[in-house]
Amino acid sequence: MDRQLEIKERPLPIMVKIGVFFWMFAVIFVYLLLFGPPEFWSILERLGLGYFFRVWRDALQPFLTAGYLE
Amino acid sequence: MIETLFSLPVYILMPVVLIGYSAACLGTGLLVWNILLQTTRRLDGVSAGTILATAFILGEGILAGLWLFLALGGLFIFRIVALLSFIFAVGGLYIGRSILLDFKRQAVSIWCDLRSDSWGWQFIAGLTILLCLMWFTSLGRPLNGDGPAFYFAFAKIVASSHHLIHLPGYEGFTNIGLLGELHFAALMLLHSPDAAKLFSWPTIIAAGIMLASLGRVAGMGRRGQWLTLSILFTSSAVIWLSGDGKVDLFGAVLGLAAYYWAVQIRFNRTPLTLFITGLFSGFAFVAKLSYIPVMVPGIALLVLWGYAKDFKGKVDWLPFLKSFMGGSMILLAGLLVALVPHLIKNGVLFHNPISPFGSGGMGWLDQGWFGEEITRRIVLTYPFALTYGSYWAQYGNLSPLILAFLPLAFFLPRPRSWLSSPLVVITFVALAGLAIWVVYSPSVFAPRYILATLLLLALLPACAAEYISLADFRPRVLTFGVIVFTSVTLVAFGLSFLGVVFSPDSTTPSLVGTIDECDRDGIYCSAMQAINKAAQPGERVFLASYQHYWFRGDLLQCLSSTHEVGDFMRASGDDLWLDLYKKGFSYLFIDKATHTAFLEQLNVENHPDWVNLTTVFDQSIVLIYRMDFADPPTDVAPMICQRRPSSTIWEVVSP
Repeated sequence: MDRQLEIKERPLPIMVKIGVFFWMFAVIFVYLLLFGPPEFWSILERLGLGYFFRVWRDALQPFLTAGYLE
Repeated sequence: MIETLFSLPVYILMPVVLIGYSAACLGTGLLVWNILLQTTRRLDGVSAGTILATAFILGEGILAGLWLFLALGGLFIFRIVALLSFIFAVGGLYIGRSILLDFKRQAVSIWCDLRSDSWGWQFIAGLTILLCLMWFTSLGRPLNGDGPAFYFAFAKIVASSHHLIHLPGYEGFTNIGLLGELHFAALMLLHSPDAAKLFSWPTIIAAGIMLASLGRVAGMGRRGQWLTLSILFTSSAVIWLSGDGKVDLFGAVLGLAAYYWAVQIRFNRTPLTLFITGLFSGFAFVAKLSYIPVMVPGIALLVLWGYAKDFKGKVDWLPFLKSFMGGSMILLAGLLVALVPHLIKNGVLFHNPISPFGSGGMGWLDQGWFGEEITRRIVLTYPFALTYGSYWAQYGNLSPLILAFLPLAFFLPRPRSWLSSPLVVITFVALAGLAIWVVYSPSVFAPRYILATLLLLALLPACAAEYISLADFRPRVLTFGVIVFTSVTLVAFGLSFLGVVFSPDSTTPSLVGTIDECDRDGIYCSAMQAINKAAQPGERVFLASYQHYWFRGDLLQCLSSTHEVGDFMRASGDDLWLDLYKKGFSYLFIDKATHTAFLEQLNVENHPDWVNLTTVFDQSIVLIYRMDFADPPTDVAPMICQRRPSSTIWEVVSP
């Protein structure tokens, strides 16, 4: 447990909290879309979202990939 | 007796050699640490774990230098390496026993803190430890890529020849620092290439401790340190280096140690901290030359920061300047000590101590991997490219947790003074290093080249996430988010790499010895073993492939040189075959995946009548011919590869 940081009571607005939570979710979710294990995709398939997110992944991937001397 | 010892099964021999050699590194470091400690009275706020990690890393640097000198003198033999390793392990651990006892107390304290924390944090800590332990299972990972092409192959040629000699085909590349390669060579000499493969495991543990220790200096508590380790073990740029035979982790761990002790200059400015900052910086530069442009300004900034308090409101400058210059000299002395073995090696082998600078073979220093458009895209998409990119030769990303937790930094309390906050300064140093790399080499996008600097970026998000976990009030959405997303990322990483890096199918069979090296490593190994079985000592192989490692020691030394391959590429028609004859080659090894041009140039179907080709191996992407020459149209006698009298070095000579 932290003993060094100075903790101040500074309640954060709920919208800020939800915004940051959504950012964290989005970052991890996009990472899993691109590099996630098969288990992640089987969960999406069961939810009926597999095709939808595969389209998203296929649209995203070309922006983050390139071959030698391209 | 010794032969019996080395015929033990892998599951006994490999752990014994790995633990013993790691103890030798630790012992060497503790011996040197104790000597250096004589110059200082006390060190405040440095834990036993940090000292042990420092000693291990120090030992890695020093032993590599020692092995280099032994190999230069032709004394890199089993008896000397084993004896020195044993003496250093026993002597160092005996001298450092009090630190080991302190570490035991520290470990108990960490365990007690963890038990008193919530189950969510216990879960994160457990998953992080599990991911760290999974590195051991990379033993079954097939060796491929750069490892068997150069790093492991070079280690094998040093271990088999007992000398520091060029690896044919990569002669110009030997001018790099050979820190990691010499550890691999020592472990191969100790009869355990498997231990060499897994030596990245103790190295990454030491890197984790140094990074978590930096977190402590930056103001983190236990939760932040666990998050830092979670970030480390969910960075694929780190995970991909597990058991693959590459040496990038050595540079990373030495770089992290250099950063840690450079930060300590502010809190514990002693000759010891200054000297080992220089020492670690020098070792990091030797281990990976790409750290030079990135780390030099960062370390300089941290040293200036260390002296900043003295600088403030100074009226009498002379004593300050004297102290600063003295400190800088000590640091430079450390740097020089680390660089000396490397400079001597390059002086002996290349007649230029600072090679590749000032040498002809600098092509690999001046790399460009992508065109203008892709380079612009990479530069404009930082930090997303670092997290999500899969560019050519990128070989992994930084943890997505860094990007995910980054906005939490806005909730951290503002430090009383920006410049007095270690967290701010360390993050600034990391960002400055990254910016320098982007300007210096925007087209070379490989996190492993500057991994130590990039890993410093883990501290701010980890610190912020820890703070929010302590300062979040109902509804504790962000604390929930930190725990859930860290856990999800850790689990996803474990699953993603399971069967690929962690616990591949061949791990258990490799350990119990039911499969051999080639069952694990695949086609290149099988192809080279086919030549190993058929070839007489010193027979020459013309190698049209990047891969080298699995050749027998004598065949490795007799392979075609870069110069000979160049001559071959310039010849045509029957002259090609005549050239192969004159240079004494008996085998042709063609990698159809990467060297098809050779096959086309040879035009094997229409070879001259005086050449007799026998297929030795023809599977998948590898084609091997045995060449016999009957009455070639020349009077020139072919060159031969022969062993020097009373030496283990083979050399190509005219008869």
